[in-house]
This record gives sequence, C-alpha cells and structure tokens, in this order.
Amino acid sequence: MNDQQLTQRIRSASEAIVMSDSTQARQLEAIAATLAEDEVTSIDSTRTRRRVVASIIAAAMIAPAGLAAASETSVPGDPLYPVKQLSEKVLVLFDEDVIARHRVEEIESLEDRGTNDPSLVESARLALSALGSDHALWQRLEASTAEVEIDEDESQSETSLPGISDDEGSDDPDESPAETENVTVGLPDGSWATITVEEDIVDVVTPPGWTVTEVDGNRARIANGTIEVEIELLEDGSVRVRQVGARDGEDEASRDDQLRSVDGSGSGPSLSNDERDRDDETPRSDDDEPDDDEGSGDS
Amino acid sequence: MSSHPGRHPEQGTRSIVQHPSNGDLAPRIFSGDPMAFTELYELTAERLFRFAHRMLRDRGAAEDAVQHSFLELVRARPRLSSDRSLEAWMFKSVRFTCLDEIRRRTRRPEIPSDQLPDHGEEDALLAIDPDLEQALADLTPEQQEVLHLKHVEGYDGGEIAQIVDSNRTAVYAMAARAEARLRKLLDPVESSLDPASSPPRPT
Repeated sequence: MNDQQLTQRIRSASEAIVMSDSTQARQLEAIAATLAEDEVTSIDSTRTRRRVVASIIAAAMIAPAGLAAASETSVPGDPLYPVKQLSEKVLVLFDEDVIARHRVEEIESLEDRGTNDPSLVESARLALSALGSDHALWQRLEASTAEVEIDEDESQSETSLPGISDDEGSDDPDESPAETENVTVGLPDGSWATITVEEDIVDVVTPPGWTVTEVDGNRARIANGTIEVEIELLEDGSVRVRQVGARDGEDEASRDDQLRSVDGSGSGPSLSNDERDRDDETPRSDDDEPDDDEGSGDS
Repeated sequence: MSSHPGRHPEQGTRSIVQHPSNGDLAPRIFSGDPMAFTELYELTAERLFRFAHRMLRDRGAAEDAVQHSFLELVRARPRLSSDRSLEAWMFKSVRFTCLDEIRRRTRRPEIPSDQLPDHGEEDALLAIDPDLEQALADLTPEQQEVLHLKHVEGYDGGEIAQIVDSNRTAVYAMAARAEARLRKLLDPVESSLDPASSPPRPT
C-alpha cells in the first residue's frame, strides 16, 4: 500500500462521518446565542463601560455593605451622611431617581424632627428637574415643603425656606426647564457636586464645605478651605474635573466667612445657619470669588 | 448544509494558514460579527467533527467537542492575536477537548476507550472499512490525530506541529512510525479493498 492509497483509505473512512443538518443548526443557534450574550458585556460603549466601572465600584462598596446600608437613612450632619453621598455616586448609575429620592426622604425625615434644610430642597429640585416635570417625587416634595410652610405659619418658629421662595416659577413642576441636565461630579475629597447644564454650566450645587467661586460659560470653579477645583463641560457633553490649585493659609483665613465650611462636628442647626446665610446672597454665589483667587488658582 | 463544498477535504485541505477566506474572516471574528462565525462554521465544523470523531469514536462527544470549541472562540476572540490561523486555533481547541475527554475516560473507565460506542454511525463506520478502524484503534491518540491531520486534512508537517504543539521533525517521525504500524496491521488484507469504491456521502 503506497502513500496515496493509505491517504485515500483513511480519507474515505473519515468522509463517511457527517454531522446531521439538525445538529449543525442547533450548534449555530448556540453560537449565535453565546455571541449575543457576550456582546452585552463587551460592546464598546460609554454606557456599558460606565456600568462595568460602576459594578466594580459597587462590588468594592458591597464589602462594607452594612455601612452603606446604615447610611441610607442619614441626613446632612449625620456622621454617615458622607457615606451616603458616596454611595449615591454609584447607585445613580443604576437608579437615576436615587439622588432625588434621597433628598426628598431627607427633607421628610428632617421635617419629622421639626427642622429643615433649604439646601436639600434646592438639591431635590435640581435632581428632580433632570427626571422630568411629571415625576412622582415632585408631589412628595411639594407635600413636604408645603407642610413646612404651614408649620411656619402656625408656629412662627421655623426658619423660612428661601430655597423655595427664590426659585421663581419652579414651584410648578410643569415649568421646570426641560433642556437642563444635572450632572453629578466627584470631588477630590470624596464629596460630590451637582452641576446644572443648559448650553453651558448655569449652576453648581456644592457639598458642605465647598463654595462656588466662579461660573463662566462651560467652566465653573469651586473651592473648599484647601483646594480649588475647576469643572469644565467638554464639547462631547462629558465633564472634566481638575484641581487648579491649593489655597494657602492666608487665603483660607480670609475666606472663612465665605466658605461656610461645615466640619465633621457641625450639627444640623449650624448647617441651617450657613444655608440661611447663603440664601441672603444668591444661591450661585458668583460674588464669592476672592480677588486673589485667579493668581494662585492657575498655578 | 452538509453539502457545503468548503468542507470536502479534497477541496479544503490547504486551508490552514493561507486559506483566502481565513484572512477576511479573522478580523470579523475578532469583532464578533455573527455572519463571520456562521461562515467559519460552514467552513470548518464538519472537518472538526471528523477530527474529533477520529479521536473519540463517539458521535455525541465529537459534536460536543466542536460546539465547545466554537463557544470557546466566542469567549476567547478578544484575546486572540490576528496573525494566527483561525482554523489552526479551532483544530487545536478541538484537540484539547478530545484529549481531555480521553483522559477523563481513562480515569473513569466505565466507557472503555478501545471499544466503539454502540451508535448506529459507528457500526456504519466499521462496515466501511473494519480493518482500518481496527488498525487505527491500535494506535495511540497522538498517532491517530497526526495521521488524520496529514491524510484527511492534508496539512504539512509544520501545520500539524502548530496544531499539536510540537515541532516539524517530531511530527514527521510520529507520522512515519504510525504509518509503518498501520501498514503492518493492514498489509494482510490490503489487496481486498478498493479505495475508490467507498460509498458516496449521505445527504
């Protein structure tokens, strides 16, 4: 038997073995299904990548799950409130309502304790305006803020809620601007700020301890006692946050009253005072910008 | 589907590295194009199945090996380098699955590896060329795979070495040893068989 004959013989035997059409069809189906499944996790889109990143962060946060859960009911001034704010940054990727819902719950919770925090109302409105004027949380917000106003009328003991009265037109949820978008950005100290964007940045809601120093077109600057951060709205709609400078001690001292920093021991009432103070100016605090700010800021 | 010309060994034998459609297919496979997977399946599935069947002698297990390798390709495609032959990758993958299965059978010998499972197909196989089947069963799995890749797929020593993770010299040596043994086993009955009389492929 020569080579050719051997080849022919082995080949002929093998050729008798064929897969049935039904098996092939079944296998192709399984391949397509696996491919489709795989696409979901590997497709190169910002949204998916954000989800992947979010789930990694979420996984990291699940470890101290008890902490995150315990922070769930905290209100501004509570020791666990920063944990709640941090977890919101992750949760909002899965549940777009979470920030608005938390603010409304906090307003309700403070109300139960007979107090209030105007900045929460402001934050809630800001978060809700991004969710649409017909969102169910508007009613809850209206209900709780209305009750506070009634309380105030009856008891004359509550502080006013300037956040509401100053918001021209936005008492009516239908009039909330449709084109505005709220973007929550993380800050170097682990807190977060919410910026309101129309064409440009129109407003920045800062976390306690931070204040807006400048809002100009697509850039805004905010600072706390030690650092200044520039928030830039890029052309593709994303937001870049970068630290533009550290503040020196003098600076910090001279800005003490403007920064209204709330330290860890700061209690609810002190925050309320700060916020009342803040409202006497304007919510945006454009004129907070110190004279020597630019020089040190860009270094 | 089974009449796809690309799967006839006579027509597809030189396809491992330089197959023209292999070049077009690779980037589409990497990007997850479902049509590319279908084309690759049409091109290779039955050949991979025959290869697996030669090693496992079991229709169900051979089908599983083919499917497993395609699903592996779906998952592994982001990590594959584009300069490697898809076809070689598939044969290699099927080979790994088959060797695993053979090892598994050896550890748990409730299915004796030297006996043909009682599928109708295997009986038919025996009916085609019982002496050849008997003789091949006497070779090691490694010898059988090299013979199959050489004679059925028509791959050269370098191509086979790529699939079986070896070098050309070792592949030639193994093929020569296997062929010598096969000839010795078959020699007494060789003249009674006419290779050209093998039955046509069922449709």
